[in-house]
Amino acid sequence: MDRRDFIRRSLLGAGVGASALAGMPNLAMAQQAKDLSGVLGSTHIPAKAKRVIYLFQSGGPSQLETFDYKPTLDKRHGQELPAEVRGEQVLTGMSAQQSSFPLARSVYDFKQYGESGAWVSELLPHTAKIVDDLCIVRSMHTDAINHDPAITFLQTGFPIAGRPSIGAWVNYGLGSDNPNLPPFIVMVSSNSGGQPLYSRLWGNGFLPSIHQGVQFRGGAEPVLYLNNPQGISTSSRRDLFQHFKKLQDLQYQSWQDQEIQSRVAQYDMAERMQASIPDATDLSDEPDWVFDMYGPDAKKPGTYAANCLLARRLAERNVKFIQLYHQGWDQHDNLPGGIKAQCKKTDQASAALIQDLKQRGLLEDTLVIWGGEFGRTNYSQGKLTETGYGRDHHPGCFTMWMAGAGVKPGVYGETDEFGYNIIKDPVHVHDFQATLLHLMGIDHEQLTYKYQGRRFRLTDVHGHVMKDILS
Amino acid sequence: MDITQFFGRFHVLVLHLPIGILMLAALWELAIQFKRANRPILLNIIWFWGAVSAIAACILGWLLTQAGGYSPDAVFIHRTFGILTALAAIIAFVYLTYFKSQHKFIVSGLAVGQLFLLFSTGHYGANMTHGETYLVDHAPNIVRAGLGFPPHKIPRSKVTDLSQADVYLDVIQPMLEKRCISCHNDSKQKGKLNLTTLENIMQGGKSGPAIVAQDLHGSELYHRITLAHGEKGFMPAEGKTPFTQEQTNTFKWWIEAGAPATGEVTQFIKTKQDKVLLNNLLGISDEFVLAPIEPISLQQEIALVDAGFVFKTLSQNSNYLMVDLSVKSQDLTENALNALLNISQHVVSLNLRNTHTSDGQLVQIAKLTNLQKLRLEHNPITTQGMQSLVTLANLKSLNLYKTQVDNSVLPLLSEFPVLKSVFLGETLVTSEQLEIFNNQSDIKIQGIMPVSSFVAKAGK
Ligand code: HEC
Repeated sequence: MDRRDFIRRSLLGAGVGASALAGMPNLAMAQQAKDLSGVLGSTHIPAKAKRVIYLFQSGGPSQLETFDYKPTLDKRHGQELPAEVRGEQVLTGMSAQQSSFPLARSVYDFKQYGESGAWVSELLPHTAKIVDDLCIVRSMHTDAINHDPAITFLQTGFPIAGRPSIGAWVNYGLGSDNPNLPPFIVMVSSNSGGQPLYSRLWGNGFLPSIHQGVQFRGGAEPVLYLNNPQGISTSSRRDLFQHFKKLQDLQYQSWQDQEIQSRVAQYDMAERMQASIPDATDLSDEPDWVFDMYGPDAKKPGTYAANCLLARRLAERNVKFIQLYHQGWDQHDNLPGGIKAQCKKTDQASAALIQDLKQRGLLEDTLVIWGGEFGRTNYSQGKLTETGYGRDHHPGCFTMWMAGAGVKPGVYGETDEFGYNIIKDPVHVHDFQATLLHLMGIDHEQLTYKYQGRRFRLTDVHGHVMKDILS
Repeated sequence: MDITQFFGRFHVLVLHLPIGILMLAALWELAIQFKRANRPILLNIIWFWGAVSAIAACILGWLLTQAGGYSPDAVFIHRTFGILTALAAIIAFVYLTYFKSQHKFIVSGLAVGQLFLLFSTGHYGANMTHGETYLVDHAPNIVRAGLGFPPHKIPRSKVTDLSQADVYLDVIQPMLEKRCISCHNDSKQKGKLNLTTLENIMQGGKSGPAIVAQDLHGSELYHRITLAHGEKGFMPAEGKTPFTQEQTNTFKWWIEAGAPATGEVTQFIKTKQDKVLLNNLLGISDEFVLAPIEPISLQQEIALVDAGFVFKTLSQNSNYLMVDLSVKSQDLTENALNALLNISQHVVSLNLRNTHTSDGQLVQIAKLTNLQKLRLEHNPITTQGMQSLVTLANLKSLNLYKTQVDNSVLPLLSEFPVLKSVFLGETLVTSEQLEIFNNQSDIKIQGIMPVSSFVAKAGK
C-alpha cells in the first residue's frame, strides 16, 4: 500500500475530513478504514442485498404444521412409518427407542395462497397473505440432529463451536455502511424461552473480536449507559478517551495485538452510539398504524414483534446484518398447542416486517430470512392421540423462507409424500450460506481467513449457490 | 453382466506386468553386454514370464475392445504394437534360452527393440484412456510446436455484455465442454457421438443427428437432457452433474433459433425472456452495463467525506459509486452538492433519506446522469421538484416515501425513460389514483400496505 493508497483507505473508512486528519493517531485511522470497507474493500460482484435480516426460529419449527402440506399423512394417520421411507435416517435418543412410529397428520388445515399457490397452514394467516413475496424453500436439510450443533452449523458453517457467525464473516468481508452503529446487531425475543442460545452463535470465532455481533438487551433500554454519568461532561469524557487511546497506541506498538485495535474501536463506537442509538431505538416517532401492523406485542419492548419493528428501523439506518432469535419451537410433545402459541407470537410481525420493508422501498435491497435449525419428524414422538402428538428432531428436511433482494418468489424444492425425504432440489445448509453470501456480493470461496495454518471459510469446502432461486 | 467385459477390464491391471518384467530383462541384457559381465540363468526365467504376461495382456485387451466405444484407429495401432511386443518377447526368450552361441549385436538388438515396442504400445494405450493430448495439454507452446500440436488456445475472454458473446463459442460449447465432452470426444465416443465440434454434433451418433435445427423433438440431444433425472438414457449418464434448468432452456432457445453455428447472441434474441435467460446464464447482470470509468481522485474523495457522505464502489471491478448521506445526520449542504457534482458520472445509487433535500437542489441532482437508484424519503420535496428529474435516463428506482408529492406526480412518472419502481407511501398521493395508475402502467408503484386488514386480524 503506498502513501496515497493509505490515506485514501483511511479517509474512506474513517469518514472524517482532511481537517481531522492531522490529529488522528495512525492506529485508529487504520482501524476505522478497515471497519468501513472490510477486507474485500468492495464486493466481488455487485450486491443484490445490501443488508440481511435473519429471523431465526430456534428449536426447529415443524414444517408439517406450517408450509409442507402432506395429504398422505391425513390418509395414513396412525399407521406405521414405512421402513423404506425411514431408511437409514438416524433418530435421536428421545424417540429411537419407541416400539412404534405412528405417522401423525397436522391437526391444522392448509390452503393455497397467492399466485404461486403455495400451501400455508391456518396457523400463519398473515404470512399466507404475503406468500407472493416469499421464496419458500421446502427442501432444506442439515447434518446435525440436535439443537446446539444444528444452530451452530447454520450460523457458523460447522457443528462444533469456534467458527465465526455469518454476520461476523459478512462484517469481516464487507465492513459497515454506517460508522455510527454496530454493523452486526442481535436481538433475542424476551417473550420466548426454550433451548438456550449462547453469544458464541453470533461470535467472531477466530476473526478479530471487532466483528462479533452486538446484542441488544430485550427491554425498554436496548443499550445501557448511553448517558454520561452525573457530573461528567462530554468534553471531559472525550479528553479521557483521547489519553486512553494514546496509551493503547503505545501498547499496540509494542505488542502488535489486533485485539488492542478492536478494543479502541469499540470505545470509539460506544461514543458514537451515545447519539445514534436513541435515534434508532426510540419508537415514539412511529405512528399507531405501524404498531397495528406488527401486532399488539409491538408496543412491549423486547418481544419478537417489537424486535421486528426495531429491525426495520436498523435496516433504514443501513445496519448490514440484523439477527433476531425467537426460541421455543421445540415441540416434542403437545405440538398442537405449542406451535399455535409460537405462530401467534411471530406470524403477524414477520409478515408485517416484509410488508413494511416493501412499502418503504427497502425490500429491494434487504434480504429477509425465516427459519430454524432443522425440521420435525412425520411420526409422533410419544403417544398419538386424537388431538395430541409430538414430533422429534428431523434433519432430513425442513422449510425456510427468504424474501427480498435478489430472490425469486415462489416455492422451491419438494419432499416425498410422507414429508420425510427430499425428492427434488435439495438445499444443504452450506448451499444456503453460499447463496446468502452471493446475494451480498461475496463469492463464498473467496472470503477466507487463515487460522492455525489453514484458510477457513464459512462454507468450509462445500456449498453451491442456489442459482435457480436468484431473480 | 458381461463376462468378456469382466475379464477385459483386467487388461488395465495386467498390462503393467509385461512393462515391468520385460523392461527389467531388456535393460539387464544391455548392461551385461556393455560391461561384459556373466549372464545369470535367472534372466531366462524373467524373459519367460515377461512373454507370458505380454500374451495375457494381449488376450485381455482384445476382450476389452469387444464392447466397442474406442476409436477403431486407436485400437488398431495399439493392438498391433501389443502383439509385436509379445512376439518380440517370445523370440527373445527362445533365442536367449535355447541358442548356444549368442551374437552380441543380436542380443542388443532384441533388447533395444523390446524397449521400443514396450514404450510404443504403452504410449498408444495411454492415448486411448487419457486422450491423445494428455501429455501435451500443459506443455509449453515450444514443446507443442515441436510435436506438431497447435499452440494453446487463448481462452475466450469473459463475456460482460451480450453483444460480445458468440452463440456457439460462448454459450453452447462451454456447456458441452463442462458436462458432456468427457464421454463424447474424439477418442471416446459413447453412443457413437462426438460433441467436440458443431460438425460432429450435427453428424450425430447411433440414432442419428444430435441436433436438428428448429426441431426440438427431432433433436436427440435435447430429448436426452430433458428426460426425467435417473430415467434410462438421461444425459449426462452415470449420475454426472446434469444441466440446470437455465442451461436446458438455453439449448431450447438455440435449437429454436435454428442452431446457428456462429454469430452474435443478440441477433437471435427475440423476447425479453430470452434476454434474461442468456444474461443469467452468462452471469451478466442486466442492471450494471456501464462503460468502464476511472476511479475518482483523492481530492474528490476528501470532499465527499468532508460533506458527510459514506460511499462504496459497486464492486471490486467497478469504479462506479453508491453514495449515502443518510447515516451521519448531515444535511445536503451546498458543499455536499458540489462534492456530488464533481463526480457526477460516477454515482449510480444515491441515498438522501432525511437530509432536508429541497426541490431546488433536485435540479442539480438531475445532473448525475448515470443514476439508477435514488432515495429521497423523508424530505420536503414536492411534485414540482420531480419535474427536474425526468431527464434521468437510467433511473430505475425512485423512493419518495414520506415526501410531499401529490397526485400530479403520477403523470410525470411515465416520462422517466426506464423507471421501474416508485415508492409513494405516506405522501399526498391518494390510494385510488395510485391504483388507477398501477392498472395501466408498467411502472410498479408501491403505496402504503392496506392497513385495515392488519387491524382486523390483530384483534382476533
Ligand atoms: C458418463 C459418460 C457420459 C456423459 C458425461 C455423457 N454421456 Fe451421452 N452417452 C453416454 C453413453 C454410455 C451413451 C450410449 C448409451 C445411450 O444411448 O444411452 C450416450 C449416448 C448419448 C446420446 C445418444 C447418441 C445416439 O445417437 O444414440 C446423446 C444425444 C448423448 N449421449 C448426449 C449427451 C449430452 C448432451 C451430454 C452432456 C449433458 C452427455 N451425453 C454426457 C455416456 C455419457
